[in-house]
Amino acid sequence: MDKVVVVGGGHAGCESAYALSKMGIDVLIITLDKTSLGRVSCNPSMGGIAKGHLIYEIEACGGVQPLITDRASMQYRMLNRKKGSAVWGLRAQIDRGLYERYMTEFISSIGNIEIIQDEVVDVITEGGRVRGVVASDEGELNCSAVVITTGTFLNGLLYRGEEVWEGGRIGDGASKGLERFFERVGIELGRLKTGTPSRLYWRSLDLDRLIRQDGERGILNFNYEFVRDEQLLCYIAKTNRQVHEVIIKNLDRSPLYQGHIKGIGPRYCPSIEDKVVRFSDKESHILFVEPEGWENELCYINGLSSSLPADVQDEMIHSIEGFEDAEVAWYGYAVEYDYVNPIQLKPTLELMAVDGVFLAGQINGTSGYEEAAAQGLVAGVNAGNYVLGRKPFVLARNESYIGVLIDDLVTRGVDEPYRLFTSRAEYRLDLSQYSARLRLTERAFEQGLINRNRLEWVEQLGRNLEKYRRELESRRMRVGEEDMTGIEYIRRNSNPYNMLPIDDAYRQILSIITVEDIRYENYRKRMRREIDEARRLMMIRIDDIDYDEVDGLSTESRQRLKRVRPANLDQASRIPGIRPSDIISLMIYRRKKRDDVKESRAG
Amino acid sequence: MSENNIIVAEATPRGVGAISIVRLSGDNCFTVAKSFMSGLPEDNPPESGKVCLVNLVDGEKVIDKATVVFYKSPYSYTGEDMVEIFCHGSPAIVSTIVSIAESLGARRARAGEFTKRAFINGKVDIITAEAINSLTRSMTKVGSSIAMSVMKGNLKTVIGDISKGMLLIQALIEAIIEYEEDIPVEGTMKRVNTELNELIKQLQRIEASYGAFKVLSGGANVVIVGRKNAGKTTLFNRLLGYERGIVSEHPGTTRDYIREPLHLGDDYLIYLTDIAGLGEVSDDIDMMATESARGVISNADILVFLVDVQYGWGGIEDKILGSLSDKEIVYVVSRADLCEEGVVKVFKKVESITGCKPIVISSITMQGIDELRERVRAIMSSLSKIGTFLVSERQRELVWEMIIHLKRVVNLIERGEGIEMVAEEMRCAIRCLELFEGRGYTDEMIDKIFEEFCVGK
Ligand SMILES: Cc1cc2nc3c(=O)[nH]c(=O)nc-3n(C[C@H](O)[C@H](O)[C@H](O)COP(=O)(O)OP(=O)(O)OC[C@H]3O[C@@H](n4cnc5c(N)ncnc54)[C@H](O)[C@@H]3O)c2cc1C
Ligand SMILES: Nc1nc2c(ncn2[C@@H]2O[C@H](COP(=O)(O)OP(=O)(O)O)[C@@H](O)[C@H]2O)c(=O)[nH]1
Ligand SMILES: [Mg+2]
Repeated sequence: MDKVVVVGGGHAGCESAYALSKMGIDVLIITLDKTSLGRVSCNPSMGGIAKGHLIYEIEACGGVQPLITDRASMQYRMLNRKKGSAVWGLRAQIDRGLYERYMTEFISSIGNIEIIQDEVVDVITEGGRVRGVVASDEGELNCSAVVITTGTFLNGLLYRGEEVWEGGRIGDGASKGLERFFERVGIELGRLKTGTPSRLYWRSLDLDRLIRQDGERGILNFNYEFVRDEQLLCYIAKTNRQVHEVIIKNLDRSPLYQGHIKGIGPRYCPSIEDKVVRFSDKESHILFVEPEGWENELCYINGLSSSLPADVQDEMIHSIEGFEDAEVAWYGYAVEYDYVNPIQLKPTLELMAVDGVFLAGQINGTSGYEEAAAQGLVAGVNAGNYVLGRKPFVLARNESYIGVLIDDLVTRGVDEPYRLFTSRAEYRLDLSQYSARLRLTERAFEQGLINRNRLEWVEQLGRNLEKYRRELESRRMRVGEEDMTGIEYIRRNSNPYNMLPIDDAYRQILSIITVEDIRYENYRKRMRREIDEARRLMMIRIDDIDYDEVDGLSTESRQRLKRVRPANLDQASRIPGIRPSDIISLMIYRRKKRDDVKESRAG
Repeated sequence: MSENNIIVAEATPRGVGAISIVRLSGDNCFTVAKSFMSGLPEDNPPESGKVCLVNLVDGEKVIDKATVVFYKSPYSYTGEDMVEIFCHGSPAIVSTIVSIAESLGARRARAGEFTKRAFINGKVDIITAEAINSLTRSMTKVGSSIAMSVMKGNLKTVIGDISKGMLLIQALIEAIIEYEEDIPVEGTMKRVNTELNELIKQLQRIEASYGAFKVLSGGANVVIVGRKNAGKTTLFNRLLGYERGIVSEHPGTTRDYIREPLHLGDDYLIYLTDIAGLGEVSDDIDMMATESARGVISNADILVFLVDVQYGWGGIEDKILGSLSDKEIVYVVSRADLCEEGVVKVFKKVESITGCKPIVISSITMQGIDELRERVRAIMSSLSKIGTFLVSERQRELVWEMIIHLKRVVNLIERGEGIEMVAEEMRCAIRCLELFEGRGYTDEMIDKIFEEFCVGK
């Protein structure tokens, strides 16, 4: 029987393995530490704006991340609650220890997944396709496909001030060897960096001087159950001028500003030293103090990521109100690692250069657990389809954030850490958290990722939505002097969410989706038109074109197209630097080709 | 590409000039061109961009001596292989050359096809292409110089600024969605509002410039209005400088309208229109005349409103004024020689009602005729000072759409609607801007744009 090797047991790796196992394929996970699958390397939380959307979509595709998140959760909040539900983003604080424990238990208990602790150092290919991998201890292992999900580990270097040491994250070694495989098959590697903040002891903080942040009760979790249990608190602290002065004074001791770190860091999740330098007029930056676990005596200081030397971080921390007597468990650091520019991948996340090698997660230049898991899911399913000889599984931009994410990666490439935003989706109003199952269930069912019960549940939901809408149409409501139908009420009230049923999860989903359907109706009509237009371009396939034969393309455009090898004209139109005139040239070429074929058939 | 993809046309305006240019473009057009030329240098194909002197031959017969330039793709106007023939400027020679080329497999270029090919091959962008089109169509010097300034990038710069403004607003709105915890919402929305209002005003000015461009480049519609017998047709004839319309002492002589072009100096062109007098309707034909007069008025750019010195300002004048809405109007006290003592009274009356000083004229003594001409010229000249012009209906429509979307953005914010809807509306505005700049077009849209282009260029 065909076997797929998954290299790495992080967020991407676990998701890949789980998807493959459901497709009935034997999976071998090879990872550096088999007792900590799905370790959260950085912040103890899952979801948020756009990231919450991803988790809901993974849920709709029967993924593992939402399951474990809800089980390990300690607090929930709905970000953007005051805005429309298309941009609500559910965020859960999670117990870091429980998360990896539950994940390890869950994945280990699956019959057709085997896990070994080892380091993969090479990939064996034959005739342009993968044949196996080489592990340090086990040596050669055969497989029909491999999913590489090594996260921040490839040639990872950790930095803190003048200190530099090898590692994938604190407490873990780096991984080496795979770069030789990549070089051999002509894949370019780049360098990126990211960082993490200090961990402090709860007992040493003066919580009375921080702002307390409660969890929200009565909202739905990622598995559509009401959150009723007790929740842990977070706190808000703030940097101040003194903190900023400490940073500025010691900038020359930062490995970043000294030029040791070459990798590019995330703009949207910068270190505190970056924030202070870039926004020099801001007097204070917000910090979130988040629990690391129910029983954990440490807290995570979200917003204080830094790679300054320990003594500087010490001074900085103690200048913050409420942190005067803080005891530091360990200090923040930065990690710099190799990544593969995903422009070298197909929309299935398979390398263009070698058949059967799939890449997912941070190795593709993304950051974040949710982005990693989403890619893991897609790479896993496609590795499965590759082995089974089935058609690729590619989600479109208009049906999911997963589609947006992967299309961005393979079409535009990555030169700084990539994070998903709702604004990256051109059809945002179509892609709310609660419509995820409606959008993706059928696709997931086709791939064998979910069972028939779920499919029926969604079909039932569709029918109930129609019924609910009819009810609203015939319901009369009085608002002030005016008499109106439920539909009009929802259309005209700027906060229609205040009438959500709060004790019935199903009714709540029903109402939210209906509110969206009504309020976004006009925009959606316009989107439909755009989608149709894009679809026409999508139908024009150009994956087999010899760009040298196409008239009217500039040399640069030709190079760009050769690099990305877009599947169709729609994808081509999103490649940076490709001009409308290039698209027209391709269109004309395609038409002509078609006419030539017709002619030769006729003649 | 196959043979019929070679196109040919005269690139210079039709008519007799010293030199005419005939252009061929497309793969293999060198072969076609060479087969009706003799005396080409030996190097084959001729060096790109080099000027050669040749005889143009029709079989054995030499039809002209001409200079030709061969341009190798992509270094040509269209980006394809291209040949330009500079022949003697006779329509007969030009049409012979074109037919020879046709007989050799080229086909006559459709309207705007050279520019369309230049666009497809990435040699010019859509805004430049539209400027080239408006340059070829312009009837006046001012119109040409506006088109030239657009070709040089004037409009693109202004649109670039608009684009920056829009992207800033979008960034602010998106930041509120993506970073709800770090962004001060109220302050940011205030800023969004200020920026929006500024942008809307700017776009409104830009939109209005298209009307001005049409007037300056294609000629202004100047319509003479006034009650029957006020002297409209006589004035019309005086301004034209010849007797075009029939003048009689019977009221209602002019029933249909007549229109004639008239150059005001080198720079400006107007179309002067004389219509039936407005007033009480006395018979059926009159009724129709008044109907058609209304149509003419609604298309007018400038109105010359005659107030007869003998009748003064009465109910009819009130009615006329009411029908002119917000047009540019030049008031005139007409037939001044008939009642010199009444002039001051009528002058004052007109001034007090309209707030404008009328021009006092007589078509007999010619008093005030030059002043009237000068006043119309001044109106045109003030239009030309706008600075940035839109040069196509497509551009105007898109700017108009941008304004609509931005106004909706303002409205959604006022009503406290979800910011994600505000953001969506903002995206629509930006989409129009992208279309304006020629990003994101499909092939049907391209065909539509080029439908109205001129031959040759
Ligand atoms: C210091 C630090 C700071 C971060 N900061 C942020 C942040 O601020 N914001 C954010 O969104 N994300 C941050 N992250 C990123 C987040 O942790 C990752 O995006 C996410 O964990 C990526 O998931 P993954 O599955 O791709 O890789 P990982 O979760 O890193 O998993 C990689 C797995 O591969 C295994 N492995 C590696 N090499 C080999 C090999 N050769 N053979 C076998 N197994 C191997 C490892 O043991 C590990 O199990 C940070 C990560 C680190 C380390
Ligand atoms: N004395 C004098 N008679 C004029 C003048 N303009 C027009 N008329 C006469 O007024 C009459 C009506 O003129 P016409 O131009 O046909 O008026 P319309 O009905 O407004 O077009 C004719 O008899 C003209 O000769 C003028 O400036 N002075
Ligand atoms: Mg008349």
